[in-house]
Amino acid sequence: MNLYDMILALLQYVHINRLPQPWLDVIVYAIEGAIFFTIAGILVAFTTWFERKTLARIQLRYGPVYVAPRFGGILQPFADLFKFLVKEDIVPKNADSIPFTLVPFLLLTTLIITMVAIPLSDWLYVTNISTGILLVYAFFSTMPPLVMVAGWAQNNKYTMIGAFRAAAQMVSYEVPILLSVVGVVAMTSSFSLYDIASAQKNYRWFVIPQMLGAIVFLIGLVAETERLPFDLPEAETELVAGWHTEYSGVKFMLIYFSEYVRAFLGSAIAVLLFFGGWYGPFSHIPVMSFFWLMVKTYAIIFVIVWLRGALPRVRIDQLLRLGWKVLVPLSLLNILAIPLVVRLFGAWGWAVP
Amino acid sequence: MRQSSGGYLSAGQNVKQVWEKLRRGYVVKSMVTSLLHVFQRRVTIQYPTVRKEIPWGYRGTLYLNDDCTGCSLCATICPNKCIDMIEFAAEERPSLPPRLQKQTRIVEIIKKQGKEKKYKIPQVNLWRCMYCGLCEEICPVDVINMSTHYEISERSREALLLTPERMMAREEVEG
Amino acid sequence: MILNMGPQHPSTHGVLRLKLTIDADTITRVVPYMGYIHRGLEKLAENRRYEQFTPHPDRLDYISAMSWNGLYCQTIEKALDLHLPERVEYIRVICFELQRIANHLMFFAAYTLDLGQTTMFIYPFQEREWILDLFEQISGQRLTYNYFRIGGVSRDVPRDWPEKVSRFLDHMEKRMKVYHNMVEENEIFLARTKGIGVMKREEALRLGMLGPPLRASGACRDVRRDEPYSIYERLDFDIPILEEGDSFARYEIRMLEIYESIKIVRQALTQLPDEKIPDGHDLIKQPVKVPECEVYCRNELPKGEGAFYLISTGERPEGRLATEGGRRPYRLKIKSPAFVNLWFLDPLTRGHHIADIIPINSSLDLIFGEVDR
Repeated sequence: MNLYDMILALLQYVHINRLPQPWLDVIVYAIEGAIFFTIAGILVAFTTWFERKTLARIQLRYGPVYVAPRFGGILQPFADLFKFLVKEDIVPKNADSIPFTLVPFLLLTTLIITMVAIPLSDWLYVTNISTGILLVYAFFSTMPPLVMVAGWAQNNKYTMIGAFRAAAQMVSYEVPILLSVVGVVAMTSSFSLYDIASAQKNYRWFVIPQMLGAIVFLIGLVAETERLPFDLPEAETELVAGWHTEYSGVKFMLIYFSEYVRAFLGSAIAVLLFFGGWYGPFSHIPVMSFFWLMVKTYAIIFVIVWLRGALPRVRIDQLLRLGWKVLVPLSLLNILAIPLVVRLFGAWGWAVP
Repeated sequence: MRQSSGGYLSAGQNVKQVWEKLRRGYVVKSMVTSLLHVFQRRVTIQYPTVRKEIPWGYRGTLYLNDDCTGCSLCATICPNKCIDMIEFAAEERPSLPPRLQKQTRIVEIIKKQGKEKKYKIPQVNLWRCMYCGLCEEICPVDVINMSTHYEISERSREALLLTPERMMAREEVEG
Repeated sequence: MILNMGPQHPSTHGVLRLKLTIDADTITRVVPYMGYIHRGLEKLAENRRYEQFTPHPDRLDYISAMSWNGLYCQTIEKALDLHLPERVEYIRVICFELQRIANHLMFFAAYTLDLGQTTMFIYPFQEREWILDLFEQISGQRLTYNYFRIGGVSRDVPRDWPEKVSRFLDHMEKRMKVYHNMVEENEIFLARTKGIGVMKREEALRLGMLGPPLRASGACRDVRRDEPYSIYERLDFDIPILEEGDSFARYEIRMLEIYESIKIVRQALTQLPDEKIPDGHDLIKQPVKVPECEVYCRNELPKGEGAFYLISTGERPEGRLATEGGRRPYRLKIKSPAFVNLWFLDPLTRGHHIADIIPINSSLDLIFGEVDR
């Protein structure tokens, strides 16, 4: 009983299920997409709050407390949303205004498409895309060119430098991420995120056979989403705020939001690939499977925020060296070990060779 | 001085470097230490609902706590020249709030000087004051004092001018 | 390519403009432009009486205000040949060393913040706030204290203050372990700062570096040892010296100096004599008239060696050299260590990446109130 069936049942209830099949599909998928976007949007807003509170706790202070004082300031992201909406929309003089305006929207669009490709539970998924992980990865990699266009469009020497660095960083960490996923794909012979997650029943999490792949993936995730300790293009000194310096108001909100969406989606993918997806105690109950996925995702987000709190920034050449000279060989090593691992764990019922 | 950058390291050297760092416990201690702070009490206070306790002797705004003799020592010593002495005739001079009026020593000192004199009372420009406390120290009759009131931001220059009336009324201290 | 790190910048400590000449990612030349916070303190001193000018040296290096205030009073006392009561000297030394701890804590906070570690900005501030509270109890202000007067201190310390200080010192020693774990055991920090901005001993001495960066390069120069002032001769402490001279050494040496300062304060607290000292109210009413002389007085400020050079023309009644009967200086020249250390940015950053300016700049511990005066 998945989301498709639920919506179909709802439409039946309101008597509009007599349409020809393609049209019915379009309507159901549209509603599913809207639901997903809403859920994911609220979760990402919650992630912002979660990050600020955790960081504050690590730093011995309070974090947001004013907006909904009883609940610890949990409506703060919505207050920020309204603030951004009423800000003035500034386009710098001599800036290329069409790319300048388009980039935030394109960023968010690609991320929305990615959002609907990720199953959030064993019933809460839009559709079981057979090339799931590749599709997600492809849309994640549309970011570097968009970043470069944004840096160029702001007519600012520093943002251009920042954009080049950001793009270089992202591109150089996409390689280890993809290579580390190969091991997981080999364990289930399928690119579909739903199938990979379903294969991790009974505590047969793929982090155990693919420990190296998991570590490489997580480090690559932190670098890909430009969070500390890898946020040199963004929060560094000579570049003030990096490639999104000149953005303000709604456009900045979209960029800021899309960064958190990437972090959230990256963690969700890590959980689906390595940490058992939505399985946990009582996960046969639908609500609990969603709950477990959320708990695990937020555990990974907690680790990412913890890294932000505890560590200084890595310099750009050290960063690139880590990506190419350390993570890529490690993930290649992981790939070399795949036949052995798959055979070994296949004998124990983990993998589908 | 070219340091720790472009020199190409071989694969083996790279691995050795990484292994060294891992052996020293890469960043584990930092992370554990910062995590332990999550369980400690938070050190910030939620101003303005909670305020910090100000010790006695804090140098906040200025006020007068008695009648002034008009010696102008405070105006002379002020490094920023923010105290002006305003002259008042006897009838018009501002006085302390009724419940605080102590007509003792200052009036005696003034009466001893005989003839009708003009009273001089200090006026302080708070936007020039640097709260150094020299005027408080030099006052021979201990009249001009600094309170523990420190929230003195206003919206206009006029509001920051502590006229003799305001200094006598001690609204900074009481209010 | 010429790149400008402008005066408004999140990581230069104050207003500093740097014009970098870079070649891809390598710096070939750095030209600092200062003067954005020039307030004319030296000229102001010529128009203020000696006792009126005491609040102003605090504003030079507002992070370590007690030290400058003390240096000024020391200069005038040297010119007047005043002998201070013992208790006053001990109180001054305690304040100097506590101020040194506070300054180095601020240095840690700013240094690690510039490198990206936001939590290490908050942790030292807890201790610094404690020190500021201690100073607030004796002087009445938290940043620009104006506590010392010519001839003494403005108020005697409260009865329970020495005990509060020693409680603070116990807490401080425990916290040093936390700072060690957060910073020195952190490989990313080490990779960012070790080997960056190396200054060798001979070159540092030849070019005239001052303060902790000089001691981190291996030269043993400390005014408390070379030309002891106040009661430092009676106290037993070491001067830490490190050999490497890179940014990490400049960080570590300040850590070691905090340990030494804690030692000094503990000794001073035990030796603090119990006597009656003249109150500030009496001190300020005595007019200060300095006879005709030239005095150069040095002090080991937390940032290095600071000095005042005072020229007084005494009681000449008229003319170009008149100074209101010797109540004002004819010329007060301020030598600040940050001004001297600023010009080391160029030699230290040659050949490094752009991102290396940040650790080098922060490790020199510059404060622009002092650079520009």
